[in-house]
Amino acid sequence: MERTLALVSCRSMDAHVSVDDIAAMIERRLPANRRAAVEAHLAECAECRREFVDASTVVGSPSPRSTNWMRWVPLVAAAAVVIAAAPLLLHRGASPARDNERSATPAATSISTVVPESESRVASDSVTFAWHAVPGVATYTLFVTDSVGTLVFSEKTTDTTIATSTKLHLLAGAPYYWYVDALTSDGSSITSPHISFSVRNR
Amino acid sequence: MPVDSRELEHLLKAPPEERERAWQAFVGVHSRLLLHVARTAFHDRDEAMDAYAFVLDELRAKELTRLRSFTPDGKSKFSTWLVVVARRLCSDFRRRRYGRSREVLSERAREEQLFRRRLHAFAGEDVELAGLAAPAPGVEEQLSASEVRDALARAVDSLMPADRLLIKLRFEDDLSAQRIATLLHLPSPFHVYRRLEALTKTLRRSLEARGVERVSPE
Repeated sequence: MERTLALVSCRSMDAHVSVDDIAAMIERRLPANRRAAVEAHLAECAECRREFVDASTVVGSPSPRSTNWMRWVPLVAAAAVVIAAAPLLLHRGASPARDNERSATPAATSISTVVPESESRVASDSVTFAWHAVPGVATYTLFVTDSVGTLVFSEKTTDTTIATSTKLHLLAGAPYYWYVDALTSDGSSITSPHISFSVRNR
Repeated sequence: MPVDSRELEHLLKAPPEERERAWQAFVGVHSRLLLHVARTAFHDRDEAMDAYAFVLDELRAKELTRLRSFTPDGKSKFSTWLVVVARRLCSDFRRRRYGRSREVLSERAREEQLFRRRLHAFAGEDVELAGLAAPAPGVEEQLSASEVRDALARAVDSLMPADRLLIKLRFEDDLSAQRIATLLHLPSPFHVYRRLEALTKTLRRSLEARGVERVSPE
């Protein structure tokens, strides 16, 4: 039975989650009440959950590299397509693959950090955290945690720099992590990588 | 209509004599993404190729019925929607080729068992339920273990949907905290760990309230 056309009964809902709802769930654009229903179904239905995980992975991953086999697959499977479409593609003046990269990847999915750099050692009394601005983001939140994830400092800012000269009390030599979290204008959450750093002995 | 569905718009509006060219343009733009989906669903190259061809056939079938069902209402981009459709078609392809085999069913049973074991170990750790996993238990102990699993299942069912999903992703699908954080748009893996820790306490209290400590080894 094809799930695409026929809906199959499931315990928590009458049918599997629709394509539209899965796609909206991936982009975090479902209304709260609908999202709860979809989450309830996903918790119950391994098949839909796997679909959600796999599709999210494809959407969130960088555009696939052109491996040897992927280079010839489209040519063999759709040779007529490529040949006939050539004038159109040339007319577009841009690589279709590049267009696709843009369409498959959100505009900003991460925040790029500046300092402290990974594995760096900083002076305990004057730690400055800096990151690159993300278009459409008005407010950032800086988080500093210890090595087991316990929050030791957080602060909101509209800037892309926070100096913590008198607010942060870190143990010399102990490993810490920092990252920045923000909400984009479309309501999705983006975050920076977790950057490790430590404090020099006085 | 979202900007990334330009080729779709051309395709759906194309008159019959232009349909072939519009389809070719559509495939030219989206083939790489569709191949990526097929490759994710099937690790074998030949299978991935067959799945890719199947996806193209199904997208084009019945006067583009599937593509016409996309609603540009702003809930998702066309490319995201297309990924989900292609992933679902890959599942259809797998079922068409292999059917719902016993292997799939036994795999599900195994995953279910794995989930219960992991969650049981996780939630039962502090209420001394480790003895339930002891080798060769007696009939009475087996019944008790079964009761505990049922109590645990009921406790999980009583959680909020988002928390149930988090539990399933971690303990049934065995995804990493980093992966779950990405999937659920949580800021970091630490948020996942903290949420799991809180849920563990909730489940533990729920189990204790159901008298689970009665089966603790003496």
